[in-house]
Amino acid sequence: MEVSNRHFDRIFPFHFAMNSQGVLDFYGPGIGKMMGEVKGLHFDDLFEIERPTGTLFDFRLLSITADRTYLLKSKSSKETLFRGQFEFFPQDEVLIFLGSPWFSSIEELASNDLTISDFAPLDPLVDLLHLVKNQELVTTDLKELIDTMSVQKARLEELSYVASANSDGILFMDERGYITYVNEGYLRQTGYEAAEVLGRLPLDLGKGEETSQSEVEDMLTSFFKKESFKKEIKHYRKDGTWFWARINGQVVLNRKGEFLHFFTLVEDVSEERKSQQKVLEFEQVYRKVLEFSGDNVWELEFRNGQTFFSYKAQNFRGLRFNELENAGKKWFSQLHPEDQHLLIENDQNYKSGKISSHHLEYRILMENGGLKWVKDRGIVIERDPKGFPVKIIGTHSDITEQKASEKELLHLNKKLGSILNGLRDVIWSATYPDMKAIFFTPSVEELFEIDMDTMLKDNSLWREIIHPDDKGVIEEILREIEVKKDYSKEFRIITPSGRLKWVQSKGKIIVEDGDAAQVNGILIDITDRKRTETLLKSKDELKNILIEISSTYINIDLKEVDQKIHASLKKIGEFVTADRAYIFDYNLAEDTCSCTYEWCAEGISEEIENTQNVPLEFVPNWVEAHSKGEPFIVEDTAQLLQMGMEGLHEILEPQGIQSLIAIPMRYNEELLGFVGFDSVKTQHTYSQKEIELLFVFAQMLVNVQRRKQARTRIVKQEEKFRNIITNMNLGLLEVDLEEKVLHANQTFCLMAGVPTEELVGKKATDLLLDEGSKQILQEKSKSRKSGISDSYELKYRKPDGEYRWWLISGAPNYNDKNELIGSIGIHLDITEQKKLEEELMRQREEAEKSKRAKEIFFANMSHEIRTPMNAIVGMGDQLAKTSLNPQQERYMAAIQNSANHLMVIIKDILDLSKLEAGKMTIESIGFKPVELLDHIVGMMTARAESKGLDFFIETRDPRVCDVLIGDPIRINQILLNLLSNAIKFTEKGEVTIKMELLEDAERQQKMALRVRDTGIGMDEGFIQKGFEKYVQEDSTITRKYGGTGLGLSITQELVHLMGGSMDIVSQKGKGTEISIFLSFEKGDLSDLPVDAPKYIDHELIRGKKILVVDDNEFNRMVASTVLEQNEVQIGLATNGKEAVEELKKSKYDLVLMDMQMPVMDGVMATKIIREDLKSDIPVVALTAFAMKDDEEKYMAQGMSAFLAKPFQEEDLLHTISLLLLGKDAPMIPKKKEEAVSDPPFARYSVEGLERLSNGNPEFISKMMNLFKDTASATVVELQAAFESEKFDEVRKLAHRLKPSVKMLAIGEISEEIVELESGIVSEGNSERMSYLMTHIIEELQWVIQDINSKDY
Amino acid sequence: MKNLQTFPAFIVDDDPFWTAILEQILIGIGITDIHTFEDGVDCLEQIHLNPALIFLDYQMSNSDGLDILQKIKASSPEVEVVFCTALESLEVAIAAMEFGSAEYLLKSTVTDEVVKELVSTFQSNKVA
Repeated sequence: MEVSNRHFDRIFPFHFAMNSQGVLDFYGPGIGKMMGEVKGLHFDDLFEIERPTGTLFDFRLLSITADRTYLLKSKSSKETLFRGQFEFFPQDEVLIFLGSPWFSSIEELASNDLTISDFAPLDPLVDLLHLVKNQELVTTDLKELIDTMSVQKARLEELSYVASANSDGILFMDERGYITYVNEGYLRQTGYEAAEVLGRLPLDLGKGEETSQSEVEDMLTSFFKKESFKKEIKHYRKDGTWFWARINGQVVLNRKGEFLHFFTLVEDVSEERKSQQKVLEFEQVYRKVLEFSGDNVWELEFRNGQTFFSYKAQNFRGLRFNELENAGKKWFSQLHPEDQHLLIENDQNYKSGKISSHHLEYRILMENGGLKWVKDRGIVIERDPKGFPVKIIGTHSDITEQKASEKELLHLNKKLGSILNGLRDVIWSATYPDMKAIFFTPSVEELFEIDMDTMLKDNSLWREIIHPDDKGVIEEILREIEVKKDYSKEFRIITPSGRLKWVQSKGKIIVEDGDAAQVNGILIDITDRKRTETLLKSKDELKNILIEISSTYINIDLKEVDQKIHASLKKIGEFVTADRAYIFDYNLAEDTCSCTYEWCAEGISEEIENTQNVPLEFVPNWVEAHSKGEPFIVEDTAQLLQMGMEGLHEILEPQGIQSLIAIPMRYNEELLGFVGFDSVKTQHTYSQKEIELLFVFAQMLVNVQRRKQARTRIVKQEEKFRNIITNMNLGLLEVDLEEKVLHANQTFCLMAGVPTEELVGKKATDLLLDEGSKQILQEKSKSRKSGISDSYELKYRKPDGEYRWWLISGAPNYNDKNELIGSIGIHLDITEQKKLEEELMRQREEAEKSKRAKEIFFANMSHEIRTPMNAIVGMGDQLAKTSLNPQQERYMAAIQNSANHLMVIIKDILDLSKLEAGKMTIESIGFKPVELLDHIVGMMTARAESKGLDFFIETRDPRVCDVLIGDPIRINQILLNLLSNAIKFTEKGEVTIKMELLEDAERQQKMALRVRDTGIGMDEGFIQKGFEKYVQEDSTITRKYGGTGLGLSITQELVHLMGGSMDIVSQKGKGTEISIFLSFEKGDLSDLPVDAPKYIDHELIRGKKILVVDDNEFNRMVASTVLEQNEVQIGLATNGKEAVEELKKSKYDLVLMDMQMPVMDGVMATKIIREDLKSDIPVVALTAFAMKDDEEKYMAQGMSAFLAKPFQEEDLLHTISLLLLGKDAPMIPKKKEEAVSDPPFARYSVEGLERLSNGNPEFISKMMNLFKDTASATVVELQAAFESEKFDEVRKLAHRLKPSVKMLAIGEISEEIVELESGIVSEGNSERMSYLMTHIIEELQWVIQDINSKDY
Repeated sequence: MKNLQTFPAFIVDDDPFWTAILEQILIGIGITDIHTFEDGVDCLEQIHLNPALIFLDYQMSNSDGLDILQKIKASSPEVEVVFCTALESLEVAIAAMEFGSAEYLLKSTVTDEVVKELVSTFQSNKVA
């Protein structure tokens, strides 16, 4: 809420304010009107404090008694009373009187030249005056009436006296009462004749019906007592009418006191009576009138002190009047003690005739404890002849509420007042459109420094104080207010004292009755805000300049440093209104400083020449401040003398420097120099902000200078590295993004054989490289662009045609701004190394070649030997079946022994080649070590015995697990090797084998297998040499004992492959013990491979037609012989081509296909059979290439099964049987090496079922048949589901199948079926899944078939 | 006291092989009144026979074992249901337990001892 003087003026037109000296400062219009100009006058000159009585003006006292009502009396002749309260405004130290003149009548008001409109509409006095006025009017009427009445009354009295002489009746009576005399008056009064009256009794004449009997009796009593009397009675006339007669009776005595006669005067008082009645009636009316104007009407009779209250007294609720009580006394007793004096004084004033009317306000205590304000007014209505009042009549009015609202109003005023006066901003009001000031809040005086009156009087004043540059704002305001009805402007003013202030003026049109009546507004001093804004702006500008400079510096090209520094000096110098800006470097070592950069404003002389190597003693103040990290500032040179700094003055004054600032430039703790600014033309005071920002600038300078230094260092370093490169005979070449040479060092030129001048600026690639190398380089430069550095080799052809090999280390090249500008390469001539390397490569290739040759040799040898061996063994077997004579049998045995021996040698060689090629793999399957040992011993016993040796198992550690996981075939091979060697090299004595447990861990066992003999032994050297291949200890040994010499080395390789080790203890001539140490995982029965018995179905084979394809006649014969014995029809072909032809011609059930044949090999032939003939006839691959991955290779090429040559008869029949089983011929599971005849493992087992049923054959039979049926169905379903890619169906079927597979221990597929179940949905028909499907189905079919054949 | 062996036992499984195996085992431990069903619905229809034990397959082609388990437990909470699965999955086992199957049987490792122990556990629980 904004409260202004205008509000004050409206609410308290009679307010006035005093300062602490009691001097009036400002005041309301009412005071002005009543008292004229009072500003500057002292309170005591104008007023005295009427009430509380005895109070003297005391600023402090009045300040703290705001809740008191004061009555002030003006010291003017009119002695006007002012009623109100003082309000203290501490901010302004003013005491304001808030009140109004206290008039008891309109006339009084008028006599002060005031009208009601001079008062605030809310002023209670106005109401009061209106009331008083009304009452006055009534009282005036009343007075007039009473006056008239008094006059009439007097006149009546007079008349009556006159009439008594003339018209009053007189009667004389004798002692008995008879009338003795009557005058004319009585006769006129009564209408009787004299004769009719005389001698009669008065009673008989005058007494009538309405005559008061009591009055008559009184009169008679008085008559007979001879006493005087005076009575008023109704007296009848002769005609029967009556009149009011006042009867004065009196005894007339003679001087002796004897009765003469009774004198009676009869006055006709009817008229008097009428008047009296009228007065009475009037009084009643008057009373009623009064009662309307107040709550109670009272009447005071001074003669007897009686006071009467009208019934309305009851209206003062809570005050009960007893009828017997004197109302006046009661009233007084209820009066508030503090107010009692009012009534007493009032009474006295009346009695002493000082006043004829009164008006009081006082408090009455209610019986309920409440308090009521009463307005008591009265007026004299009757006076005694001396003019003193006899009777006063008046009213009591309840003004409690009125008082309360007054109080509230005062309270509000008080509040408003404090706000208005506390306001620093100016609230004003002006007429519209002529903008004549109506009102300002007092703060205007402070703002404009013009007093309020002047402001109000002179409209043009405030225009004048507007800053010349902002004068236009008035027109703007007027325009704006006309259009927008309000405005807000900021402008400057210059006060009379010359101060510049920023003012914000806001205004708004106030519309009254639809017309723009006035403009109300506010003026705010925004100087401080503007100053802050300006400061901020200047700070911001400086900041912006710094930011600009810093951004320049950040990306500065160091070549431009000088120029940029110069530019920034200028920029900052100009900003701080300096005329010279400069940078000095301190050389603290030599105690000097030198100017390094200088900028001068126009007309200012340059000093840089004169300020080189200035001794520091010349500028001690600078150094002192700077070494502390502080700026050196001279605000005003002129003042230096006063400050006692003559020295400094002497330096600066001659240069005409008024102000200067020099900011230290420091890096870490090191003082480098300073940047300074001289103000020559004007004086400049640096603000804290400016100084801070200049420090930032100084820091930037330090930074950029340091960078420059660093850059210089880098350049030097670069130089150094270039030199190093040159000296190290490294060719350095820098090219740009277009591969144009930027720089090439001398070494490069020599390397390239091209002089520098021919290189620089040319495109290096075009100049130096052939097409092939160019491509390499283009790729390299592409990778440079992605920031990749690397090294590569390049073949370079020198201009003279010589080829050189270069190793080039290339890296992207960036400039200072981190932009890629090209690449840089360091070239090293590696031609010599390259030659060496090429030589090595060639040698290695040769080595490889020879190795391959060896492998091929072995492979070929294997084939070449095996093929005839196949025939030898096969035919030998066949021959052995014929009937031979004993000699023939001996020969036969010899042939077969030799053949077997040869086979061992071949196997050794093949093993070795496998080992060398890394193709030997070690299996992890379950095996029974004890069985293995027994088996070997069984195998070798015959040989040992034939040499007469003791051969036995020396130790068979019982702690060795029943089942271990490992490669039984290889262990077998190792032991056979060792044993056969031992037997071979032992002529007499014994050969033993031991199996010892060395370590028994939770999951593993480590064991030693030792073969000991009492043979020839080996010497230390041979053992240490390691068992070189193809070497036997002594070539004589070879001759003596035979063998390939490969055994031990193969053994060692195998042991190593199995993660084991081998130890030999041997003594020449004494014997040898070879130990191998191997660790195996522990296993159980379920880990044992299930090896099905060979399934041969002679019935199935019989009558079938089989094509035997082999280029080797013996092989064809072996196969044919075997097959023919089984009543198979044979077709023959010598190569693939023939086979295809034959198949086209006749129908066959199966093909035995040799793989390596002239004209067309087996692979090609099979391809044709499958693709061209579209035949799915089973093709069994026969090959002597029994290398590791052969089987998979052939299976992938469309073969149905694989047999390594030489094959055993039953293997062949087994394979054929399986293939002929059905359309979906199963693949033959991988054949085990023949060297070991593994214990036969069943492919399925009924053990589980037997266990469950205690061997109940019925149950087993039922279950087997059940399995057969369900599995057959499942196989069909599986195939169908898999083919139609219903993989989830496959999964479910596999799942269902799982338990039965497990129950029947179909080991081959029990894991696979789990794998199929879990993998099929995600993998679909992947290679693995397809394989699993095929294999599982095949195995199932086999089992089904087997169950069938076994006839459970 | 209820002697489990005198009450009917149900085997619900669509794999006749497994059903036969289990039947054999149950006969082996003295249960004679064995009813076999190929799917859960048939089993539920015969639940009035008041079986003491139900061997329920988890994965049948026509019904979901878990679903059937809930239905069985809803109508006959006192019946002991053994969940049979070829899945070696703990989750199924847990789910089965949650749905009120007291035990579960892995088809791949089943032996008559396992089933015997299982039934005797039930029996002792009943006694207790």
